[in-house]
Amino acid sequence: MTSLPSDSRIIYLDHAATSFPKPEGVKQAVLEYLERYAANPGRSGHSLSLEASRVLFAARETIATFFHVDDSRKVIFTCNVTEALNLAIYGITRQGDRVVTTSMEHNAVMRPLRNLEAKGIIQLTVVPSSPEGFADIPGIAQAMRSGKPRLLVVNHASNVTGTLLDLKRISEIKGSAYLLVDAAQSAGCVPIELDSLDVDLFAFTGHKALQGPQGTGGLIFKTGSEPVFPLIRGGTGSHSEFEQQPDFFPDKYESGTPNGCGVAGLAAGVRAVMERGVRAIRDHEKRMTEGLLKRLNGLERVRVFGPMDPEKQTAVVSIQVDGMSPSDVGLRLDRDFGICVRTGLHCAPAAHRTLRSFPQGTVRISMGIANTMDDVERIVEALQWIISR
Amino acid sequence: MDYIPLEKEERTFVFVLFSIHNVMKTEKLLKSQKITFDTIPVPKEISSDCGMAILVASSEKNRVRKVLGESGIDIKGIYLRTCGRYEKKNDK
Repeated sequence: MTSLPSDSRIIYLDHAATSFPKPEGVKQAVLEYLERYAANPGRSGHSLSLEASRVLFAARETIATFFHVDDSRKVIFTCNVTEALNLAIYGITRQGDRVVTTSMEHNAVMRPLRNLEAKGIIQLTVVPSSPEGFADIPGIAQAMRSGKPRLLVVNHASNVTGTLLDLKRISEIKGSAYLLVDAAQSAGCVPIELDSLDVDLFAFTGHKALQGPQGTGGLIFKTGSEPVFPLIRGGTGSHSEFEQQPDFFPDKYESGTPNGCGVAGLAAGVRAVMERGVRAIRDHEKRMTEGLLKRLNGLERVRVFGPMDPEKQTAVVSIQVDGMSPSDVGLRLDRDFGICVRTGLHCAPAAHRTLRSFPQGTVRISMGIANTMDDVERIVEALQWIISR
Repeated sequence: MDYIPLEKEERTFVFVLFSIHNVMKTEKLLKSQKITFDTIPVPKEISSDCGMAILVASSEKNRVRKVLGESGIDIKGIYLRTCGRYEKKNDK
């Protein structure tokens, strides 16, 4: 059995997978919901059910405010970003459609698209990104000009290298296609104001930089008139006399009892981010990224992937150590130093092919709001020790 | 909290909306306007829907209509409640 190192604290550097620890308010909000009003929101009509509905409504309003969305009905809750992306991709594509994406996408995008392609429903164009993970803007623009694609799917920040995409530029070249943005890695740590962007469908997760619990996320519609079929249908607590799915937001896309306690926690997470300020968080993470990159640059046998520029990436840094498998490095960081990182392909085989780190993958160091420069020093010292032996 | 009386002889109005989201939004708006209201289950005499509705004193009916209209919240129906019976008054 593996045990945690007893003489030192855990250093958590896996925020790109899930942020940890959560702000105190998140725990309190989940607990309060469970203790005081965990009835069925929008269903039963009694005072506790009503209180649960109010929590969901307030959470929707908080998220709408955070992302600069005018009408909170257009914020649809899902259980994670994968579900949000599946809802958007399966919901908007039709037989014979052309879809364009990049080679830096996560499997949450790639697998639904490859599945639709294999079924003969869509024609898929994957525009190769650069070895640093940068999207090929002219290449995408060219792909958007031929054959009238219906959908363009891009990530805002890579989960492997943190490479950022300029959403303004990408929305300028989308043409008549719908633009779906996977903001799993950027929502909560990079400022995003949807009212100044032309993003038709915006998918986010709750459990990463938005500081919420797992099992939360959502899809934000730009206008609400995007032709997206629901992924699931069922009870909504509304229009119960009809056997057809209601056609209004948010009920159209939210069937079944929602993750009430999770959403309560997500709202508290977003409030914590707003209190600290997303720009302040971004600055903090840029400083740590700069410090880490600088120190890694001085280490022999370490190869860094990605932009290697804190302005052009999130606080995600992927490395390989010459002569050692990423999984060995990760195991030793964990067992001998109590440092949690993620190794391997990070559910993004296409991205690793693009970065030329396939099939062994990388060691991914990802920082969050709770980290400090001290954590950066500690992982660099640990890597030095591992490399020297 | 003060409740809107449900005694037989009271004339009150029930606003039925299209979703629980809109009911919640209406609560927020009416609170900000200091209009007294109750959120109640949609009376089964009106609809078999399992949603919620807004109950107000008859003196507040027009103010509520105005607030909802200004906020772009569609009204499914307005019902007068007297002696435990409901009578549809306006669609919009």
